[in-house]
Amino acid sequence: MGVVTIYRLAEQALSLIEGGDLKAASSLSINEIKIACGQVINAILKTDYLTINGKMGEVIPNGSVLALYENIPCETNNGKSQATLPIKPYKLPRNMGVWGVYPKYANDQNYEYDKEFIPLQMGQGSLIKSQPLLNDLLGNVGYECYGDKLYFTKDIKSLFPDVVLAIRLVIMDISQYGDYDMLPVPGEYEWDIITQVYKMYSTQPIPDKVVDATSAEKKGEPLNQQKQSS
Amino acid sequence: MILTNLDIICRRWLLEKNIPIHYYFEALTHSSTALRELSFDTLQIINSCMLPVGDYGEVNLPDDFVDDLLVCAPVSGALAPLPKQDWITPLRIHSTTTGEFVPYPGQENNTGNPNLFYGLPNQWSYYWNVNEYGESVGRRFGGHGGTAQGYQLFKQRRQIQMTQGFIGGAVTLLYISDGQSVDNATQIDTLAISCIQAYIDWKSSPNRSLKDSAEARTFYNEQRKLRARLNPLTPVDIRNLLRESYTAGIKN
Repeated sequence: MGVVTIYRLAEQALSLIEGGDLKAASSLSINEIKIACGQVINAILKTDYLTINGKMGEVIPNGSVLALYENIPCETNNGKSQATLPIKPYKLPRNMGVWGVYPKYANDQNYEYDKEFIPLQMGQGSLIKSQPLLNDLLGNVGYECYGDKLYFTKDIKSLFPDVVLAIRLVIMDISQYGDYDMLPVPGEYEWDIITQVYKMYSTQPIPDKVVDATSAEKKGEPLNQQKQSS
Repeated sequence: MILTNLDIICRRWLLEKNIPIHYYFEALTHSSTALRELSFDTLQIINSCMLPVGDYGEVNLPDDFVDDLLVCAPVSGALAPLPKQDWITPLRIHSTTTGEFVPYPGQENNTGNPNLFYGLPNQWSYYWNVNEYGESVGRRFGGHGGTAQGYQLFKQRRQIQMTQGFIGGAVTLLYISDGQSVDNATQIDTLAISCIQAYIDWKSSPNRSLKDSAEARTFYNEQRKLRARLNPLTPVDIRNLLRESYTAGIKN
């Protein structure tokens, strides 16, 4: 079994949908199938986490795909720092889709992957201000996630003007992989992915092997753009 | 490791439960509550501080104050413990000219000797009361014991009110802390780790409000073990107590 790549998955699925090679008159393209593969992969990974890991009492989403984004800028807004997520991750309990946020405080420093920020749930950032021992999170920086925005408990941008972030998100971001890059997807998912993508397009009409260029409505239309209804 | 801190305890709890950092804040919240509850009767976090006495004899309490253990005044290089004076009232009056709080004039204790400071009346060492060896010759009749100096705790004012003799000075306060100051978070007895983690377990379980749940019982057992571990009594101490109880007697 070869390495799982997005092109290989898409090509296999497309062959099933098309009943052979991609036809000149097909309304599908390989790029569309690649996107569909990404969608199916994410759905399978999340289902896998909830049905297998969750039932075993495991909380850490082992086997999930974590996308790492570096050099995420930070900005000050209303006295606090905030950042924008590069992509919306899975919706997991405790907002674990945002797996980790790590700072790089200065240009000549490394990302502090051992000193991640402390995740808070929505609304806790203001609640802790009433608690004398907790309001500074023991010196740590906390963050809340609202939609695609991260709001930090401190204005780290003012404290460290060159600060940038690295963010790990639980998501299979297909745009980050080239056609022949190895996908971080276990081999046992291959069959599921192809089957699911095939099901998505099972109602897609199969174009005839011969495009009838003589029909009246097809006149004047280039041959490779003509499509035939079932 | 003599002392540990809440951060270490919480991260250890996450590791032992095999859960990620997203549960850290919950653990931190419960552990700080555990620290507060254990401070009252088990850990007994006792802090001390020297506090200035204000213009009308008031002493502002520290933020983490729960209960007073001792109020002392510095006397000749030592700290003399002061008693409570129940006659001091929490009421204060404003100066009609400045608007500031001022002490009640003539606020005195009628039952104690205002010049007596722990059995040493200032005027008592007159020469006719002392012989050539510096020994008291007695004959002190009708004198009061105790002292009129002292303090009263007024939590509603977040203050201690001292008697007038201390105005402008300073007193040393020994108090039970609520364990909620940052200093407390970094100075936790290592013996308390299991107990605090048991509390986090209880409060993060569905039985968080049930004091008779299995998780609660586990915590109370851990608290009992903690008390036993904190007990400083050793076999040597016990033997010494027994030996101290014997005295040499006349052989019949």
